[in-house]
Amino acid sequence: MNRHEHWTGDEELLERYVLHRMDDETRGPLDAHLAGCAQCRDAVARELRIAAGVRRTGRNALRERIAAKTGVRAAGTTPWPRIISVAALIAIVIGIGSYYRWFHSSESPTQTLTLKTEQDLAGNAVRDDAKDRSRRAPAADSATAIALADQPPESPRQKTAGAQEAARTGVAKELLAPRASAPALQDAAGGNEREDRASGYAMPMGNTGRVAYWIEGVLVGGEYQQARDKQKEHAADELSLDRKDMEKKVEEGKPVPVSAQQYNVAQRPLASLPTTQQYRQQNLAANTVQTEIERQDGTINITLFTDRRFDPDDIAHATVQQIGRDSLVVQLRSQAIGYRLPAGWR
Amino acid sequence: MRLAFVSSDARILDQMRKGDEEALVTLYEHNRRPITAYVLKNSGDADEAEDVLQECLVILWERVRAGRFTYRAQLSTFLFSIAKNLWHRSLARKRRELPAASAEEPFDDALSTLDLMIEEEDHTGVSNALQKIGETCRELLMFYYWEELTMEEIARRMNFANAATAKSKKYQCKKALERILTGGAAQ
Repeated sequence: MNRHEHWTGDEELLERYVLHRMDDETRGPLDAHLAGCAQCRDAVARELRIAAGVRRTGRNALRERIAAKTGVRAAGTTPWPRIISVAALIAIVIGIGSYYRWFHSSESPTQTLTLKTEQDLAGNAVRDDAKDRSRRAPAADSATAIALADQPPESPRQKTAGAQEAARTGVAKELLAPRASAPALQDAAGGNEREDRASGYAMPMGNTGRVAYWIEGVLVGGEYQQARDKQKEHAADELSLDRKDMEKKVEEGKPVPVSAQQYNVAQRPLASLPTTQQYRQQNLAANTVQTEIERQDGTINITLFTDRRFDPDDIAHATVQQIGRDSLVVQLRSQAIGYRLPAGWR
Repeated sequence: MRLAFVSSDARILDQMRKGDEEALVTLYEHNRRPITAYVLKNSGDADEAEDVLQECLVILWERVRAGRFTYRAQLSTFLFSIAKNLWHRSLARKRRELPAASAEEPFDDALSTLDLMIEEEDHTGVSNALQKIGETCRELLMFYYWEELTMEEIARRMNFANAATAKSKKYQCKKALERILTGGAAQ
């Protein structure tokens, strides 16, 4: 047998070839063989995919570390820890104030609804963990934890008690009230740190007809569409939002016809996240997409904050389905982002 | 003046060889302005500039860590050259008009076929599969494919008896990864 016949059967040789761990003299004959051997080309392609995928995973992790480090360093002249602590304190105070406001005023509850996140859905274990973490690093955790007070509107007294408990335990209960005005939001998204704090935790400002929330979606990979098309049940163990569950909801739910609501989907870079959301972003899984959802005058604007390179056409032609009362799926051609909607939105 | 640069570069490279990622922060700060200016000047935006800069740093990091970096010019020159290459290719992909690239690209060969593959790779499948094969396997394959460590070095770092053991383990890990990838595709 020719020495180089199906040389890709030699695992070590194949790896050396793909990783460029050989000189040109060795490489030349292998290249020549590849030109006429589809089987070997396939083997090289498979090996390249693994090498490229592993490297890309390593690179992404390193890039995230660089971003985290330079974010801190770039702000070296700015006392970020202090700012974050102050922001967290403001958030807690406003949160408590809002509870009292809700309790003592006749304002519509929809103006003071809070956001329920996936973390909250995990139940008491997470809450206990949050308490524990808040004891270790109260300022940081207060800044990152997002309002979780999605208790049913049982009793204002209970709500007040909950707020007092939140204040007592130090568990952050940031109240993400509807934003005051679109210009304020624009400023916040533009990265102005002062405005971030001002608008990010704005008190309800009466009935402006505009409601906005931060929600966190789980991005389901590129195979999502194929999975739907083939109606196969893929395991999605690694996803916090179970894909099967999402598929089931798609099938069983009653999607709101897109035509009934006007949805606009847009993408913005992570750098334009408000400060507190940027801080939170550091603690989120890579497939989590921080999103602002805004409703105004019958139009729903969904802004995805991610550096992921979506095709602009996919964003422009994204479709949105509300599934049941509490879930939303943004479909971007071959990818989808699933959201659990906050109680206040429903 | 040049000696000062060389001395500073040598210190940074030494840090990188030791795995000190703070070196990347120093390089990031020193090179952010020129690379950002270049990308902005050539139809890019701030986010794309940030992307390019980070990618440059990662490429340099990989080369130094794998012992494949040869110091032929200042690090800032090397990074700027890589940035130009990356950005020109990115522009070409977008089919935007761009000024003709300089005929004197000193490091045109700095990006290997594998780099190009990585750039194009939708790594989601491999990345997900890596999460399923266990921490030891994940770390081993990272050492081998990404950090390009030798089997001897992997054995030392991961407390395997010897290089042969590391090699055997690597084989098992890779097969496990392939099984997951193939299974996913077959479903």
